[in-house]
Amino acid sequence: MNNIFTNAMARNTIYGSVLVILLFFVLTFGTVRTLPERVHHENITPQVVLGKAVWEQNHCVGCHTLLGEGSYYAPELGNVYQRIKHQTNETHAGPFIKAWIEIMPTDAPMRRQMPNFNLSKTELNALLAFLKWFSEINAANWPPNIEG
Amino acid sequence: MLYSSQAVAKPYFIAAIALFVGQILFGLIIGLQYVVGDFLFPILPFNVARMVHTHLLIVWLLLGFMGAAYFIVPEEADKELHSPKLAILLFWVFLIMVVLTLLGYLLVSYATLANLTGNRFWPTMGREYLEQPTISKLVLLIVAIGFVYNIGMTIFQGRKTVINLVLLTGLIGLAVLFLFAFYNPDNVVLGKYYRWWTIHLWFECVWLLIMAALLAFVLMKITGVARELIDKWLYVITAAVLMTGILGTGHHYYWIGTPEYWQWWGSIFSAIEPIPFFVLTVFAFTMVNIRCCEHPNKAATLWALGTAVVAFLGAGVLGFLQALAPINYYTHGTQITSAHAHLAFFGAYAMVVLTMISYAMPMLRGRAAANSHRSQVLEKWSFWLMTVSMTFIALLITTAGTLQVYWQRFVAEPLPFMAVQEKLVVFYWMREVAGLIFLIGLVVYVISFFVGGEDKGETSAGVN
Amino acid sequence: MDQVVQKPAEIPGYTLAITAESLYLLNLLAIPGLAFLILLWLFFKYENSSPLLGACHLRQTFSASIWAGVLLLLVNGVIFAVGGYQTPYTWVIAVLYFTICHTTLVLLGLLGLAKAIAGQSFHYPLIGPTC
Repeated sequence: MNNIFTNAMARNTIYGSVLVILLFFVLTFGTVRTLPERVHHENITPQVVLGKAVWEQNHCVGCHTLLGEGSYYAPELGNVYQRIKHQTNETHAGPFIKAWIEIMPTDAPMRRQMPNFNLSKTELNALLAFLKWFSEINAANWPPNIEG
Repeated sequence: MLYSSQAVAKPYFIAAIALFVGQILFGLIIGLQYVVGDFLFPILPFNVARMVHTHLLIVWLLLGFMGAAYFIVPEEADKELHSPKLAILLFWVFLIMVVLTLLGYLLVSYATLANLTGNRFWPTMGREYLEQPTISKLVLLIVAIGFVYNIGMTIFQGRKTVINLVLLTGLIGLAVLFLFAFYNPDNVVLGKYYRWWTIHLWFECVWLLIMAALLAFVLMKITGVARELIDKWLYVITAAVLMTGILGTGHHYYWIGTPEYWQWWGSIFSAIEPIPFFVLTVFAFTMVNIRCCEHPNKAATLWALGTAVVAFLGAGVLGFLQALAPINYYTHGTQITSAHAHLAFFGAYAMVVLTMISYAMPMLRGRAAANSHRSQVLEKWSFWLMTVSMTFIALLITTAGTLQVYWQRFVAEPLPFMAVQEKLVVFYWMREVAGLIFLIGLVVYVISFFVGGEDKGETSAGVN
Repeated sequence: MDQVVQKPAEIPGYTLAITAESLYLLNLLAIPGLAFLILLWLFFKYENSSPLLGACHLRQTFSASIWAGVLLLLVNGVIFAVGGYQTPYTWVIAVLYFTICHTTLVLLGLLGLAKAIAGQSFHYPLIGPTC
């Protein structure tokens, strides 16, 4: 077997990865081109951008997931806007989510606790704008149901 | 030890083990917070403890890789390290960055930390695994560049073996791909897309090249098999890693707003992603089967075989279990993902660093080739305690994840997230117990360094 | 370095041993059924007429493949027949059982392949005959 499959042949198999890298770039090009439409880029307002900063600077992803990415300690928030609308039967989820964030923590014994982040009114509204924009992204029909 | 400059690896290894202990302690805290939700709240909220857990994971593995490279490269290049002083300087820079970042996490709120470190000027914080303040990321990048320069110059001026070149490729890839951590566009989906170029291509591509090179080096030393044969296997593993791992990134692009065609490309390439782990396992066992000589360091042999097998279990099997798009539709972002992450990280990376430490540390401490019999017995105990308990952790959270998928995603009338979590409490408790056993294993591991006895001498191995 | 008495590749039956182990793995991983049929054909053709190493790996993988079929298909069928699709615990038991059982069988195959490449014989614990 040593003579059939030489070291030089083994080394040459590595060049096969060039094709894979090229394909990766092509698929990336396609992704970057279609993303503006899929995420409704025109809806990324300055308020949404601020909301994203609030999201990141309070480390929401340390407990929650956003389209399944993050921590698995607390509920998915990519579709939280629809979920709250669904649960409360209201046309806007905003007031409920804002109140929810503001009354944290619950301090219920043994229960998982969410800290109070002392967000200003502007920050809260921005965070909501961000979550609302995010909930409208075309994510290939994920999550499977409203519970995330 | 052939070259005195290899000694710079020692502080790297010691710091790596210390941070490993820290990682496990914080892991136990978050494991407990899964069931006792208000444990340590509000002093140490879950997100902070988890961030410390993953931050320590990454930095101790990086320290381990750097130490391993400083040990291997001079020996393989057949010359002293280009600059041992730079290596020691970078060690302290890195360690200070790690400790300051940790203090920042623990002492002030994350928002304050973001504010203090000027995140608004160049926002990179607040994304999973990339929580470090921008300035910490910059320091990490500088250390990585200085380290690659040091290693690269040594190889450039010395012997260019296949092990050295694969290792260098992995390390350059590590530094270059980290650049994507600094890109955080307003379009979150685009940010998520490129975040995986750092995270996935680290963990499932370039780190694997590093892992393969470390394993090949240790196997060559302890089995005494001819270098040509080791090289051939290493070539095949490198090709397999690159050809499956790069497009395997696609399995992160199913449901984050990226085009649907990723479901096909991601599934196809994920289906073949276990191949490199296959080859690694067969490689490790074949080399031990055809060994020419008996190396006195039995513990290192055990770690080397163990890392191949557990990497196969964690990355190959548990990874494949959820990598196909139709299955991932239900399992994405559940405890099943967490199970895979735990066993894969431990098997592929933690264990390969421990393999390297097990092989190199006796010599770095001035022993001939291996620790005393008593010390090795303890080390082997720690191997089994940690490996078995981590396997149980993975199985328990796979169970929790399967139930989570069923109640939250699969049934006609799904339950809310928290209602499902309450049903899983018993599995989280068992996971915590397995975690405690892991900690015992780790304590035994640390103790094994302080057990004396007579050294094991040199053998005829290590001719290469 | 040259104290190795005999190169593994020169042992009679070396290629057959590797082929048998590869087919066993392919049957579990890539082309179930088809790989087994090829193994079956090899088994009846070469079992009695090939050198020790090849015959041993052939017998081992043939027996282990049959056991793999029983353990994976039959037992999982029984789990679903008894538990039904509608309870979560059937899924938990089936997923765990299949994962653990399949993985163990694959790992044994990897060890067998590593032995075959090294030109040594391998005995599948419990599911392989003595040879």
